[in-house]
Amino acid sequence: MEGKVPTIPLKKTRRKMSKTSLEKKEARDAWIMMSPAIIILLLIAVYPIIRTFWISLHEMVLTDPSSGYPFIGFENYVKIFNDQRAMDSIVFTLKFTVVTVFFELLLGFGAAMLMNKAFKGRGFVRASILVPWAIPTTVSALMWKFIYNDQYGLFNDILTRLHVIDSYQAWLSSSSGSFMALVITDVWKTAPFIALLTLAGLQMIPKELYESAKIDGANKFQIFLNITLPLVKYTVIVALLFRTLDAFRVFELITVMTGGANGTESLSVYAYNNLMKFLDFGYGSAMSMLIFAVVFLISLIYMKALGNKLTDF
Amino acid sequence: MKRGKMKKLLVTLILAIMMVSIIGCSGNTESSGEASNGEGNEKVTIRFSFDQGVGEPTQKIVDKYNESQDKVHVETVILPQDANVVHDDFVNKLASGDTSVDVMALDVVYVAEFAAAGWLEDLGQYFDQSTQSRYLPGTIEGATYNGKLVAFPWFTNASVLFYRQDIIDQLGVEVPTTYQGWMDLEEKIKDLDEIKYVSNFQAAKSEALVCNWVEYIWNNGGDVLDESGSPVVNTSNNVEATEIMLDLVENYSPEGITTYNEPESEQVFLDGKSLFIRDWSGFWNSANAEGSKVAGKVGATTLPIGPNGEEPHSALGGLDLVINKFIDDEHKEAAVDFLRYMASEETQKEMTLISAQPPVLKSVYEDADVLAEIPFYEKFYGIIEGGKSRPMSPKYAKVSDAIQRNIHQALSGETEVKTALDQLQSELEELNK
Amino acid sequence: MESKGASILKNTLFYALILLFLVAILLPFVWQFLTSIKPLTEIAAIPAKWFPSEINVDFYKNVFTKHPFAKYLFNSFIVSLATTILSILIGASAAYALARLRFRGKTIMLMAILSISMFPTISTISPLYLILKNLNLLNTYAGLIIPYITFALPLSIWLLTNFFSQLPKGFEDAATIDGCSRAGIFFRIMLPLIKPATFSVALLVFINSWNEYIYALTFMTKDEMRTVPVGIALFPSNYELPWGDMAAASVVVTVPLILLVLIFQKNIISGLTSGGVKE
Repeated sequence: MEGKVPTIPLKKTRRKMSKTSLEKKEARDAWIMMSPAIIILLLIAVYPIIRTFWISLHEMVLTDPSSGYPFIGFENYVKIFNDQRAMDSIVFTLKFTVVTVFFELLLGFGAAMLMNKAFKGRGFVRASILVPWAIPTTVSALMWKFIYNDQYGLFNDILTRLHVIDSYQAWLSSSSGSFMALVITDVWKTAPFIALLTLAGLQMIPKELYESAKIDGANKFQIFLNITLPLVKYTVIVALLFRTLDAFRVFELITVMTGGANGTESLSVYAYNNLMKFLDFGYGSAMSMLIFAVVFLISLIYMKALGNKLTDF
Repeated sequence: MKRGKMKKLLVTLILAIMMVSIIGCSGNTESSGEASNGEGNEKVTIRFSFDQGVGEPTQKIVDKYNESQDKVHVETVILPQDANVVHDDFVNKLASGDTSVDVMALDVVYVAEFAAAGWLEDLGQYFDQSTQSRYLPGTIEGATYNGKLVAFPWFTNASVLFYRQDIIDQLGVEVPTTYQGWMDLEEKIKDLDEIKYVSNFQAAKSEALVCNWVEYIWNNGGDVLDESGSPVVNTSNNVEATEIMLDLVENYSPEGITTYNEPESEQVFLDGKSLFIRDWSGFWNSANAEGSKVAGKVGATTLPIGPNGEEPHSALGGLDLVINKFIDDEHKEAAVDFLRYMASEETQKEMTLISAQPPVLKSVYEDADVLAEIPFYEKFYGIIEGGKSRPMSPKYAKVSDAIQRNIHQALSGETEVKTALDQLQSELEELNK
Repeated sequence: MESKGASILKNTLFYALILLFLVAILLPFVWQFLTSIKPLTEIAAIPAKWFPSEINVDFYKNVFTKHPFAKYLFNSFIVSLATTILSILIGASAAYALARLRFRGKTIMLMAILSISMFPTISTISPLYLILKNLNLLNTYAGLIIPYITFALPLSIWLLTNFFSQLPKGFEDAATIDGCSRAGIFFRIMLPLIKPATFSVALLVFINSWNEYIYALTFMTKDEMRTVPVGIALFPSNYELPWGDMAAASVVVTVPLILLVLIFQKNIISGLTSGGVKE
């Protein structure tokens, strides 16, 4: 013990110095650890964004090469806000996003809670929840289109047997029917995503917490509010963030099921139409940038909700 | 110390990526080795991209070509049968000046668009006037833009009215030639168990709708554009024609018809539930295929006309072959040789026989073997001759989109027919400026 | 304690809910499966016919004989596996830094990572095609894997950051005292601790790559390099819309994924059992 006394002051100084250099080292290690991700993202993801932005500042309609594709600044963006069809697509997209995310959260979270308990066959149920997510969107959209078919669709069949409807309906022929069909199909496919992630979050809550709470006499509701919810909140928010962004960018589901008919043209579909159908690369690129901006905005909002929980240490 | 471990991590990652690329590259060299292996010195390889719609028969034709000579080797790049997917794939490649595909099978409606974008090689120098005259004039017209031949027709198509011959016989009536004539049969089929709907066609918001609608217009003495190319969609004849279409949709067709493309509508007819179906000529084969409920019971005739129509016109479809403007001369030459093969009498005949796609070469329609195999072509030739093209324009995508939206709204009951057509008229006028 | 009656009622209710849930989730898939074994004439029967009168394996035969489906499966497997492993490694590495190390600019990094990869796919196809072409990566596995990793990164980074941040703070210090290096801490302690999360994320990344369509279609033009979603899209032709074949294909395509989940069950289940904390 005495031998250490003279070294203590030395250690103290060293520790003071190494604290800052420790911090620096930490920061450097952090950047090294993040570098592969950064490199890939820069190479692959950033170039298309820059190129698209550049194109959006020009008038570029491919079928009119003689125009020389002049620079027009933000004219394309102004055009979006004067375009009723673009506005309609934004409204529809927002409606769709809010409704689907709401139901996905409800059903996904509920399913995760159910599966968190140990019961016979839990493994099978857990494997099953991935089935909707596992089927490629193009295949499942076609499958559901078949299900909604007015002549021999499963949907009509079941509803008729349950006496909910009298005769087979043409669900996809109206705007409300189409909306409902799209929501059901999307929720079916993606609630499992939320369920799986929520479950992972629930599984990481130490069982000891539940045990000691029970010993303290807490009831199920209190346990849920004070232990489960707070600890799983952030996982759920992150899952929701991704789902919101995906829902906002909905594309394949719509092109396969309705083609954008009956008021179901989403922003991505309209952007696509401008870009690839009308070959108006300038305008289509501007719309892509708009989608990007909204995505960024939504992420910001979610970040606020997360506070600094994710990165606080 | 920590650094070292960090580096190790990075190195492992990089190695992993490299390994994967190597595995990847082996996929690449494998296939490019095939073509350059073995055969003659000056063999040029060209790539031909088309869709799975006629995938199998085309592959056979291509194989035959490759075997028949050793100057050109054609590799096929098959895309899914989805007009949008195919269009987009071509656009993505051509917009970046890509030379990985030399010959493409392009839907006739896109020819003007691609030509205007400057992506198509001028073919006038390779196929002279007398050659061109051996082909159906409508198809040559459709392959011409601004007076230049920018594509060469491969096969064509036109719509036909297929109907249940057995039911017509049973009812003891003549095959109707007007829309009203068909609608009048509604009363009579009520007593029959099997037939639920008199009418059946495609009214989903898609290109199919455009084809259907223009036929109603043409068959009632109207048109989309007048001689000078200005839109005239809201004339009284056109309003009348669209009202007839709406009537059929609401009262005589399957309930979901505004969501039907060809597959859905065909299903209904094949189940024996509709009296007629308007569809592309190739449906003849499906209707009479083994296992079809209606095999042997199907008749074919021209489309009906409306009160102000004189003769029926079917919409023309089909695929043209185009050559990528950006490839080098050696490949262009090879591509032209391939095109000549595809347009030759022998190949046109064979293609028709194995693919059930109508040829563009006139003489094939009179070929004895073909008529023996497909007697239906005798009647069909008249239909093809009377076929009309949809309005050709570099802006066709926008025109089609405008038609799809407005007409679908009218057929869904969301707007009045007159309002929809007025709206369409103003949108087309905008585009024309 | 509850009475036996109440307990039985609760259990029954519970299982009923589970059953209802299962039915809702699996019904369309079961329908697909039944369709895939029905005789041809019964597929579009009206009213919908539920159970096939006889089992028909023709569609399954077709899937593998009419198309090089086995090759498609192989390609999908290679691409998805590589994407998953690399995304997890690269993602976890970045996530660890974001969650457990101190430096500035974390929020910006997270935001950037997320939004960059949420850019509309349609606008990325043309430029990416150019990049890959110039790097000679078209028709190679790497040509798909690299873009796939790019778009899997935000998901894995965000989720793994989240899970890493939930681990108690004491670990690093304890391990450092024991003489562990940063990399050692990362590989031997942190990663295993969030195993349930890692496997869940891995599963999602795998599935996303497995099902990706548009890049697979554009960047792989040679038939022998194609992946499953494109393969299925190539089934329909003018001569048939083969519902039966497509149903069989979608069953074939989904089964490996289900198997994967069943195999890795245990890894998704475990929570923070005694091991980690007490050590």
